[in-house]
Formats: sequence, structure tokens, C-alpha cells
Amino acid sequence: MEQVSSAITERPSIKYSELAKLPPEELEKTLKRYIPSLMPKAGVDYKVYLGKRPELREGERLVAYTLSTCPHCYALVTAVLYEKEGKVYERKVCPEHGEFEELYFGDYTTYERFRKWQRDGKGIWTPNVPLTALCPYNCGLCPRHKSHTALLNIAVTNRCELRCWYCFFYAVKAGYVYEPSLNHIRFMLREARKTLPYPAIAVQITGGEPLLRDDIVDIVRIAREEGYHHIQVNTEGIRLAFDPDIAVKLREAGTNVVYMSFDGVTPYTNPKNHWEIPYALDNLRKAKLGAVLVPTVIKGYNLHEVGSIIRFGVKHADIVRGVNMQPVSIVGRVPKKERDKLRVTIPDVLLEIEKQTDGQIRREDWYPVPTVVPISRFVEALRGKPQFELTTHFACGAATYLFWDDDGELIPITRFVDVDGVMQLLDKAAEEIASGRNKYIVTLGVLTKLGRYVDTSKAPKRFRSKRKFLSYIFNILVKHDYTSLGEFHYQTLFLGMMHFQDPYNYDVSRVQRCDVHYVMPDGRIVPFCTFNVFPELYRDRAQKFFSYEIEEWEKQTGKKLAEEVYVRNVKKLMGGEAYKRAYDGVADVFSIPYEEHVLASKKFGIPVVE
Amino acid sequence: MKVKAFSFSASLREPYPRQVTVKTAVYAVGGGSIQRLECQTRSFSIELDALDFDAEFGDTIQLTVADVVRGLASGEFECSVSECEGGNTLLKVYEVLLNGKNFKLLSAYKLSEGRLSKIYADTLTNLAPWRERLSSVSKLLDLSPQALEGV
Repeated sequence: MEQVSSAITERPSIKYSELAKLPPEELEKTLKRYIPSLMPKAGVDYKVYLGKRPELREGERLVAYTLSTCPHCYALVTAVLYEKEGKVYERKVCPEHGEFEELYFGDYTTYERFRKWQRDGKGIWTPNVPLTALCPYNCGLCPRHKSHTALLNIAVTNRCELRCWYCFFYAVKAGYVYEPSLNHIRFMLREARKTLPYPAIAVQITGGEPLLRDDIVDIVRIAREEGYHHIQVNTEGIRLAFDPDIAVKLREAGTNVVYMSFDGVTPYTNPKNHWEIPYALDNLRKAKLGAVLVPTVIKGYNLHEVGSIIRFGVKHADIVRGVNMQPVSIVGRVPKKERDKLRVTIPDVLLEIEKQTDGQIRREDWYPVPTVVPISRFVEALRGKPQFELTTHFACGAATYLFWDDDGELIPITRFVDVDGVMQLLDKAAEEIASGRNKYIVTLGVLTKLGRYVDTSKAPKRFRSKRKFLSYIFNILVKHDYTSLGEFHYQTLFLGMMHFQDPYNYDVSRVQRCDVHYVMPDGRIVPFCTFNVFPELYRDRAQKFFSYEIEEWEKQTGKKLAEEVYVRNVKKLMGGEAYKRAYDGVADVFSIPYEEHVLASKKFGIPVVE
Repeated sequence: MKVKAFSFSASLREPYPRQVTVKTAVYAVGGGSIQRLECQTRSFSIELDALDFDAEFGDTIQLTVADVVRGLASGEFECSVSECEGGNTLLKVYEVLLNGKNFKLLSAYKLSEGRLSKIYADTLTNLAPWRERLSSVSKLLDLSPQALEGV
């Protein structure tokens, strides 16, 4: 294995409070100087064992080989993906830590259906780091990365007011405060805007709990100033529940949507923010700021509530724009038996949704993320310059759009739009334009044929006008008028699914196509699933390096970290009209004794006023 | 300076079908002219060559070792590695046949701080017309475009 780079030096130590005072230009130069010393080091941070491929066993059918990592030592190893009894598994062997076997995709038929939609992006024309190590130890983005940033994450703090039992990330546990200055944040956001062929245009401000920052509104404003079209704030919603002004301020500063954790409809499944969500939604309503609900789905925990979660979304569709489910990513060392109790993959969740909605939302209604690439390619052919493309790996995510009728019937878009047909039509049109045909004639052909793929008689009543429906599509594709997309979006519920990887099911093929990235404090852009799966190499290493000591931060701000603990008043929250209204018709939350509510909160790690 | 060059043929199934053949020629550049290098050839070893393969093709044709490994379930990969001894400035010319379409791509390297650094690389997803690319490379390598005509 070639060593990372002769340029690597010993990692220096810095005093962040001094660094934060530097003027912007000097700050940029200084931050970038630290990149070589923060990159993962071969032989120190990881090893490479690519010599052997795991064998197939009886009853197993080869699907693919891939590169993966050892969950214990992060060594790069070869893995086999195989089909057994209709499911896809991954097996890998680390010479030092033995064999690991994990469910990769819960249904082989869905795997094959999704695989057909795979398209690759145009790569990164302006890599931030030279190619000096194998993937995934070279992130930055490196020259071999295939997808541009579709959603940029920027962590603005590691402080949090919750003390969830499973979390080791927040400041008190980590032992330092990561909280980049506004100048520093501007630098990071600007770095991601420099990427070609397509700069980042969507950003998620995340943490820790970003709303703990007093200057969160300024951060949103900076993101807007730096050219981000879509800004979302990722929050547990506690402050939103109690401070109606913050929702208004966030919207006025340019926030498009709030990404809010929501793991279920009962206190048992959602002890994190079950009681606060109704109030947060009401305050978002008043502020006219939309929300996307983000459930982490875990087998044996909340998988049985995925249907209710969707119904909750539909009930609040005046303010809830989408439900984006995330099958659990298992971090830390977890024995196989325990993992099997928790593990779900995208097809498993799709199957449960089908069962729990009585077949109203079927597995076939979902499409993998890259399905929409033909839309980008068609627009690109028309406009003659690279467009935003969702070229993530087919196993990473899936989505559909959900409509509904007044009688409560759920109607996925696939009931009245032939998605396969539309995408094939656009694909063919893009190819024709690329090969020199007149783009206006081709576009006219597309518009003429588009109606064949839409059967509005099967659409919800308010969409029965074919003309109206097609006008949305025309405005988006031809006029590039995205207000149409917004208008369309407000009458539907986006249903998404994103399965972030973990050390057990890791697949380098997936990470090379990742389009959900983090910007690091030194300006590197790192895929979500290297940033979070190898925290010692990326997230924690960089954040710790650019952090305050707790004592120093407390002295500077006059705050005490230990005092930033949310204490829940369950009785008061349950007594409010918003609480009753929010769950009415979705879950019988009042049939659960008060003591059980309190216990659920406490068991999760959130103390209760009694 | 020693340099590696890869010539290979791959038929990959996963995650989507790709047929790709690449033939690489390496030229030493100096004194206003180029000279094709004679190289020693051996077979590909993933442990020895993975990083160099990625460095060569990860950006130019967007093919990485991870792609090759992934694609091999029912496909084929035959690759020979040429190890060439040459000057301090090098030009590589790739004849690429990708899914039935032919391309000619260029990359250029210069010795800097004791190692060869890539100073130019064509990428399939951002390919300028051939004349334009020849002109860029000739300027970078201090060569007349005519010197590159025959590559």
C-alpha cells in the first residue's frame, strides 16, 4: 500500500479561539494548510487487504463483489454480495477480525428493479484533494467521486439539549465544543459552491442541535448570501415548540424547510419529541415554514408504525411537506444477534408500508433516487449546460409522491403517471438532442406524447384536469419555472427513504456515488457515509481539531454546558389542545397512562418535571 | 522516473452494463519532441495497482477499482500493467472504446518535488474538441501541436 503522501506532517495543535479571530482570507489559507495533516494515514488509520475474495456457500447465488471495510479496524477488504432466499446479503472477512455477514437489501427482486435505474454523474471536475489513497480514505472530494453535491450538510455545533442514551456525539460527552465562527461557516459554504460541474445549491444546517446557536438566523442568512437556493434546518424541534418567533425568523432569513426527527406516533416509539412535535408544527404553521418528518426506522422498535407515520404526515400535510424515512444505521460494535434484531433495509420498510396501508402504497410505487436523472439530462440537452442530477447509488434511497382524496384514500403518483414511460421518453429525447436533432422539434414531440403517460381519471379529484397536471410538467421541463414545482409539491406528500450506511453493510460502490455530503471545517467535502461511518478519520478528527475546550467556551460565552439540559413537562404538554389535535385519528395517545409517558421519556434519557 | 500504464478490457454487469477497452501509450517529452517509451509488461495486481488504476481512470473515464470489482460478478477484466522508465515529463495517450464509441484521451505528467504530478487530464464527461485539447497539452508541455499530431 502506498503511503498517503510525503507531504503529511505531524498533526499540530491549535487554539480555535485564536483561529476564529483571523480575517477571512487568512482564515481560508490557514484552514486549508491543515488538510494534509488531517487526512487518514495508511498503516496508521487503516490497512488494505484486497488479496482474497470471500467464498460463496451452498444455497447462495452471486450478485456482485464489492469493496467494503472491517467494522473493527476499518481495513479495506473485498466483500461478496449474494442472494439467499430472496434477500441480498454482504459477507466480508478481515484477516485480523474475522468474518462479518449482514443483510444488504431485504428483497432481491427490488434490488434488480432498482439497479436498472442506475446512472452515474459527471464526476468532480474541481476536486478538493489530490488522489493519494484508496476509497474511502481520500475524501475531500477526490477526483474519482462520481456525483456532485445534491445536499450539503454543515454541522454548526455539537451542543445539544437532549441526552439521548445512544448518542456519544454531543459536546458534554465529546469533551469539547465544536462551534465554527460565522466567518468560518461562510468559508465552508463558499468552498462547496466552488465545485464543478455543479456547485452545491441545497444545504442542511445541522448539529448537534443547531437552534441552540444564538446566531442561527445569521447562519441561514449567510447561506442565502452564498447562493444556496434551498436551505433546511435539521432540528429535534424542542425550541420550535416553545419559541414561535424562531420559526418566523428562520423563514424570513431564507429557510425553506425544517427537517425534524419524528420516529413514531406514540411515546414508546418517539420519546425524543413526541410531546413537542404538535406545538412545533403549530408554530411552523403560523410561520408558514414547512417541515419534513424524519423517522429513523428500527426493526422491533418502530417498524410497526411506518403506516401511522405516513398517516400523521397526511393529516398535517398543510405544513408537512414530506416524510423521509431512514432505515437504521448501526454504529459502534454491535454483536450479530443484536444487529439482526434491529436491522431493516429499504425493501423491508417498503413491504411494511404496503401492509400497514392495506396495499394503498405498494412496493412498486417506489423508485430509486437516480430514476429522475432523465429529467436532468433532458433539461441539460435543452439548456446546453450541466444540470443538478441525483446520481446516487440505487441502493441508497427511494421515493414516491403521495396524493390523497377527501375520503382518506392514499394515491401514489404511480397510479396515474407511467413513471417508466415518462423517463424513457425524456431519455430518448435527451439522446436525440445530443445527437444533433433540433431541440424545439424534439421538445414539441415530448409535449405531444407526454399526455399518453398520464391517466388523470385515476388521479385524486383535484388533479383530474389533465391540462392542469401537464402544465406543471411543462413549466418545470420547458420554462424551468420551479414555482410550479413548489405548487405541485404543496399538494402532495413527498415520501422518501434514505438508508445511510454503517460499518457492517459498507459498500464503497455506494459511497463513490454519494450525493449527500458534509463540508468539513478545513473545506473538504466528505460523503455522509464516510463522515459518519469513520468518525475517527473524518467527523470527530476534524471537529475536535477545530474546537474549543469546554472551559474556554464557557468562559467566552458565559454559558454552562451542563445547564443546557431539556427537562420535559409531560403533563403540561399533554394538556394542550395542540397535542390532542395532532394525534387525533392517528394514535390513541390518551389510552396510555401518564406514568407510561413519563417512563418513556426518562428511559430515553430526557428528564421530566413531576 | 518510473511510471505505470494500464491497458485493459472490461465487461462489467453491475451496477449497470459497461464494455470498455483502453490501450495506453506512454511518451517521454523533451527537447520539443516526444518519444514513445518501451515498457516492461506484467499482469495486474489489485494490491499493487489499485491506487494507480484509480488515479489514472477515476477521473478520465470514471472507472475505479471499486467499479471493476463490483462489475465482475458475471463480467470479465483483463488488464496488463506496463512499467516504463522515462523522463521527467510524460504524455499518456489512451485509446478508449466505451460501449461501442471510440475516444482518444490525453494526460500529462511532470516531475515535481520528487514525484510525477498529473498536470493535465481529459475527462470523458467534459471533453473539449480534439484540436483544443491538443493545443492545451502542447502549451503545457512546451511542444508544437505538430509534434503531437501523430499520437
